[in-house]
Amino acid sequence: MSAPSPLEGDVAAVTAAVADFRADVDRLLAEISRRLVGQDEVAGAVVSALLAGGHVLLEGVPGLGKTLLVRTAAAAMDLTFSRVQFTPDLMPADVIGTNLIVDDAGGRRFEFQKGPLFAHVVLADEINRATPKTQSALLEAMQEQSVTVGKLTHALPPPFFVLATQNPIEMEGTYPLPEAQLDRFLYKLRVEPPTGAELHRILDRTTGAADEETRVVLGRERLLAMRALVRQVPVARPIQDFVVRLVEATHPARSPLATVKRFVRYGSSPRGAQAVILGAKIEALRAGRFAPSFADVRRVALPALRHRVLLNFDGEAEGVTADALCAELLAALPEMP
Amino acid sequence: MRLGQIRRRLRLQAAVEGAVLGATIVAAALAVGLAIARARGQAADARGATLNGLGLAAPVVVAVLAVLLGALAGAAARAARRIPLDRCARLADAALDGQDRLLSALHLEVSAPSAFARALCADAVRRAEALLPRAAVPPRRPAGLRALGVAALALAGAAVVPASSSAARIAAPAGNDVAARRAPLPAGALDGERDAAAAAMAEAARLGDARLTALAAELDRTLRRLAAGTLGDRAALDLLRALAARAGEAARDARRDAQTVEAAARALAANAETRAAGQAIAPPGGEAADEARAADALAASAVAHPAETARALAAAAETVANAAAGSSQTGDDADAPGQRRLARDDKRQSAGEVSGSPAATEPAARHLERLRRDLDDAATACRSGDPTCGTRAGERGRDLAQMERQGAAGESLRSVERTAEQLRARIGRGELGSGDAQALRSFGQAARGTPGGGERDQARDGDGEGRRSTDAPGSKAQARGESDDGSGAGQAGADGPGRGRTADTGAASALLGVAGSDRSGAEAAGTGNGIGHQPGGPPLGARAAAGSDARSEASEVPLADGAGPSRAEVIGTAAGHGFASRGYARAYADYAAAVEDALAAAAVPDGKRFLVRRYFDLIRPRTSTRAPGGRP
Repeated sequence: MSAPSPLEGDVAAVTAAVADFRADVDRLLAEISRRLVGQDEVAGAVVSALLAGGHVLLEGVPGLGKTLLVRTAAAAMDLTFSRVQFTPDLMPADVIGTNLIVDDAGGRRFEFQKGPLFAHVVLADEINRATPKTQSALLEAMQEQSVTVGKLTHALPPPFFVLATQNPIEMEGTYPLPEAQLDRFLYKLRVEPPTGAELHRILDRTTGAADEETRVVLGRERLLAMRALVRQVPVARPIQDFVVRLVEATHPARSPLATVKRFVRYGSSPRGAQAVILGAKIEALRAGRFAPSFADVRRVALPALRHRVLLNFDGEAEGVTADALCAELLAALPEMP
Repeated sequence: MRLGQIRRRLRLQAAVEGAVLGATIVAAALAVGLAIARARGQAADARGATLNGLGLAAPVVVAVLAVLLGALAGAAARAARRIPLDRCARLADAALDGQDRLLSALHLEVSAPSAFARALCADAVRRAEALLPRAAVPPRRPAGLRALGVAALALAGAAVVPASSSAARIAAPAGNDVAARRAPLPAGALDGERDAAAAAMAEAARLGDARLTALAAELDRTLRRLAAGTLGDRAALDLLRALAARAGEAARDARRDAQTVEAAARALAANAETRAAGQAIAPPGGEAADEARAADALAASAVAHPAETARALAAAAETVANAAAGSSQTGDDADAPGQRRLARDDKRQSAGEVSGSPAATEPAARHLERLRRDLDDAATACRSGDPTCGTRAGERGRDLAQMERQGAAGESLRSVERTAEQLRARIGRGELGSGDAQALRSFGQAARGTPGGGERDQARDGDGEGRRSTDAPGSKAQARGESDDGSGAGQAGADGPGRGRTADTGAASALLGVAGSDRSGAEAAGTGNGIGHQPGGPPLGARAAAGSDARSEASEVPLADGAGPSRAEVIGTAAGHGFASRGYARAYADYAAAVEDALAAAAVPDGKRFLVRRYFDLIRPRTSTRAPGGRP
């Protein structure tokens, strides 16, 4: 046989890269599911956000395995992990770190003591229990991948991934997250309670013999390479156009839906469109495809947009949910005009 | 490539659907047009004409050809439409796995020739090769077949089923000899009207009046068609209305001419030299004017006594001038009620058709003005010793005598008008055997809520009261009489109010657009609006009055299993049940205003500000109804 042409070589390399990506993600999810019972969709979305370089906001009552999920994912990718329990008296310095006076041979000097934010994977547990001031301390870290204390900016180690959990907003002693911070999360995921069968499996696994250790299935470098691959995936113009129209339709001034006009205060920012496109790309790669489809967009639209659609007073008072509005939008909007 | 094959299949399908659509549109249009034409009596008999040698009805062949042409046009129009490749790609993708590989490849092949795009294109081509176009565009029954069937059935129905409904027959206008044909009337049904027509024709022959001859002949022709059953109710009503209008106009002209000539004749008779001419023009015993004698007498007088004849002619001209001036200023208002009646009946007609309008009086005024000018010329000629004076005076004497003869036809013309009006009233009452008027009257009563509506026996029980204007201006005949079962008092009226227990005639007349009737003795057919005394039910379609007392609606918050009501649900329910009073609304307004002031003045964190406003929004006074789309 003759040697493959450069073009064929490219195609073969891309095909192999996509296949490897798919296999690695499958291995990672399999390792997570080995420790975590159920929550397959949430685990998939968390991994997707990791690969997209975004952050995830998890909403659900305590005890559903959120911490285990993140801890397992970090361990499976050989990433450093830290957990911050947000409370009303938590201060920003407690999260990002602070300058301390250190005595050494040369005399006294300030030394930056890194806070728990300096890890690859940070679990900000019950983030809505902290005051908005402390919540905002995460802003720069999440967006810029760095923190600034005094006049010094400290880069965070890539990959940097924040997974925040919050209790439902109706519970006592909570503060709603500022809109600017909400927008910095790639996805907002809802964690549902386990089914009966899943609960059986949880009990069998956690009340018996000692739990197994998490195995490393991906290295940090591999994760960064996978992130780079995601960015190479092309998106056809009709697909992108659908995303643009979807995001525009979340704005009350431009939406064709009367319910959006009535109940929405602000629609999604461009970050919402970026999140949808990135999520769709990852969905395509996970399926072994070279470009995302409309179905991929539909699959990731809800977690990517639900926290970016801000209801007005009428919407809050009438009990309208952003999920319902997004679902209505997805149902009403034609894929191709 | 597969997309091209898919596009060809799509084009073929579009052509078939276009053909169905075109055929449907043409068939539906033909059905509607045919139905309308048949309702109006304009359709030819579809079962009549045949194509030579084919044995097929020509309209059927034409209809089939039209439908085929419509199908061809629809197919061509649809097939010529542009089918974007995107659509073909989406269909192919749907047939593959729904992951938009071909669509993406189609767009990325050009716009993003990266390694990923090439891999995508290669993958798409490989998958498309295995795709059968039939799978992407499966054969299907063209849309609109059911509509085509319905249209075809409608077309066949319109062509075959006769227009037999009451509404169709009522709607059929004049000239619809086929669709509005009715059963011949029994002998003697129109005897009275025939006698009147015969008398008018005899009078026309005696007087030699062409107008009267034409109108009497038309009345006679209408009566014959009615008797033979070749004239529908609506057509008869239209014909008779036009005939009555023309007869009324002619009668008014004749009356005016007669009055003018009588005055002119008196002016001539006032002079001893022209008295013979005046008496020849208007014989004192009511005899017909003798044109020859009037011409001879006036010519002789002009030759023998030109000066006196000139004065007499000038006096006659002045009387004619006065008549002409009165005619042009006021029009003919002698029969204003009659005209108003006609105008009311002609609401749907153009205003120009109404006789007696100012436009209609202009020719009459010109006619009298011309006569005055001729009389003046003759008088001037006599006064100046013109040798043609005798001839001119003789011609004027003949003109006046001729006008007198035409004026004598006025009574007969009024008779024709009355006969036409009476006949219209009889048709309107359904006395000539058509059930349409009766059906409409019943519907009218039902619409007014009168129980037992439409029975003629009930109509007889009613007391009628109305007015009827007579022919002479200002004179009104009061009539009192007893009908079979009840008593009626009043004037069979043009626009007078009619009263009756059952409100029969008013409603029916309103619907028919013809005169109503009171049964006030004799056979004076009257018109009038009836006002029923009988308590009626609510009008058709009216709702019972809704209760004004507000009732609260019990609402319950549906709960998700194990979740418990949210704070919004709890507060919202409480506000719906307990916080909706007026006092609460006032208290709420006070507190809300105070809080808004505080929020505006103080540095409250955004999160707290949001919470406070949200809380007040949740507890605002409101009803318990929920917005559509809201969470239950």
